Amino acid sequence: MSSTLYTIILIAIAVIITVILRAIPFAIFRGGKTMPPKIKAVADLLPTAIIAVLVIYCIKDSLLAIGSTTAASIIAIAAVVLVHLWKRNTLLSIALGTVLYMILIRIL
Amino acid sequence: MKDHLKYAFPRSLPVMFGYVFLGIAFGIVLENAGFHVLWALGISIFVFAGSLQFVMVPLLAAAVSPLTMAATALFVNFRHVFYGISFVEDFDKMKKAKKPYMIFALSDETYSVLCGCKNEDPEGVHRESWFLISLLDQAYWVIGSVIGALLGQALPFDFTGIDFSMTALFVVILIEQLTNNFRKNWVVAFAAILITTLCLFVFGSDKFLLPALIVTVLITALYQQIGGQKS
Repeated sequence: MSSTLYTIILIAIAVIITVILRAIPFAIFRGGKTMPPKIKAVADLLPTAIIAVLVIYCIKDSLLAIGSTTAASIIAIAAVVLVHLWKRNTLLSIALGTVLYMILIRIL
Repeated sequence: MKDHLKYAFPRSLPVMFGYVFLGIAFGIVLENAGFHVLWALGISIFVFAGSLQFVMVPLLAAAVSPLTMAATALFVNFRHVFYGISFVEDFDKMKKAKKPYMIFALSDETYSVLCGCKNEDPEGVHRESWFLISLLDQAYWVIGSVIGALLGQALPFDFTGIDFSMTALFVVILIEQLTNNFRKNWVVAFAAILITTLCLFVFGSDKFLLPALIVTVLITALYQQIGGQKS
């Protein structure tokens, strides 16, 4: 199999899974069925937990090899947290944090 | 159409800035991994899931097994299962032809914009304009990733570190979640960070995401069962 075709298959899998996930509530709750409260309560908590996992996923390499990149990640994340708590502007927080990180990994 | 645009465009503006910027970052990351601009175009049109797209770049580059891709997509995007719940009735009330795309295009950012729209317009007077919000949002994302893929090839500037924009995005979303319901959310966030870090050191960089997500989901459910019921 060519690598192009294989890449397309992998992308198609990502598409199908994503569409199914987004469509599930529409399939389950058609016609006014309501969610069991226990499931709903876990459902409310999961986004926070999963996004927290993704934050660590993002900085995995700088956690495994402690060095200047680790410091840059921690400082930049702290900056994002502070700027975001202060201004509550998603774009500003992301832009400032990224620029700071790009500078830090070059000078540290 | 003009009325739809008048309603949808200003509401899509915050997403425009975020998506063009992140889209550019994605295009550059993808291009650096050896995939040219057509891949950026195709992935952003058909997958349209910001975090998964970033996460899948190294997976595509390494030509991982279909099962790994499926499991990663399942767990990275699992939170999307809960987004539709807020809009089951609303999307049903929209024109039939619009509904499949509304479901397909329900990304984190579009979800939050539509929540805002619903909040300011509970009667749903402008509901038909939501379609254009979703479409504009995806257009920004697609345009951004194409620009990024092209810039990555054309500019001599060293973009190392621009993928931090994904980290920053998740940190921002996490802060929003935490400030929303701090008492319960900080426990699961703290547990998730601890579990994931532990899994990283136990399973290594390539294999930790899946066990970390599974354990985190289980712990979250357990916490809700025993500790979270009171509030």
